[in-house]
Amino acid sequence: MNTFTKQNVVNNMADLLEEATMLFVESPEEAGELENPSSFVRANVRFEGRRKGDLDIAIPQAVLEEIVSNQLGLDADEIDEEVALDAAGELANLLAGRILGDYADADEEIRLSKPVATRGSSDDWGALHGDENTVSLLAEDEPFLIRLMFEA
Amino acid sequence: MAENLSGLVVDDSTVVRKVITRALKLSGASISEIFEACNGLEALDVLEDHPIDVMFTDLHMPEMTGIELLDELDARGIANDFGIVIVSSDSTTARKQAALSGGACAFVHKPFQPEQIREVLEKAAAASQ
Repeated sequence: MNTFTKQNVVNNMADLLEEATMLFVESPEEAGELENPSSFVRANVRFEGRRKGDLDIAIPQAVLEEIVSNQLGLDADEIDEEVALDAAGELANLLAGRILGDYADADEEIRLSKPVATRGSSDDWGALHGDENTVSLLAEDEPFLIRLMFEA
Repeated sequence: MAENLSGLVVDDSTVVRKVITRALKLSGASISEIFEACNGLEALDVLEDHPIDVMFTDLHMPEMTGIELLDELDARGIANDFGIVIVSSDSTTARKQAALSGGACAFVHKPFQPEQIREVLEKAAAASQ
């Protein structure tokens, strides 16, 4: 991912989280060394238009709980697994729509797949974190990964 | 605004349905019942059994999309019986026009603030009169 695209991804996620949930993000450089989260959800959305590809996010449980509680007024212990996975998928869906909208022509139709969200493993986190198409952010002092891959 | 409004929220995301339902309940409007459906087909099932005043629906859903739902409501001659609001992250011009010409009275872009739901509720309730 080139520098322009990375900045676009970061800006869109920052705007989305702020608008939807009043959460504010910062770049990892501003917060020092990242620690892997103990629990996170990974969500994928595939997109097709003039460009095809995938968007993946890895979002820590603590951030997900904050997002859902801000949106639904629920306490963390009221958020079940179905709601947590659904929230992560919806976030990936909204982010993909925003980012791709910046690259699409006015009349271009972009088709997004139904998001697929699963509980992530430490191997998943390592693979995503080490990918050159991934950007890292911090939200609520927790690391947060976004990978955007365009097919050639 | 009319009293004792009955609403239907159609979205394949549990969280989005809950967020819209919560926004409607907190809107201050007089709402008697809010039904939920995961897609257009489920929405049609609800509509067969329950008269409603306003419907909030997503566009991209499995089984039956929002646009297909609007087409089906039109085919059944009930598209104008209640106010329809589209709530979607897809605001491409073509899709928006298709929704509005298919009977929707308003379009809310995701993510939305609860105030936006309250604002379009008034418009949708008026459309159902």
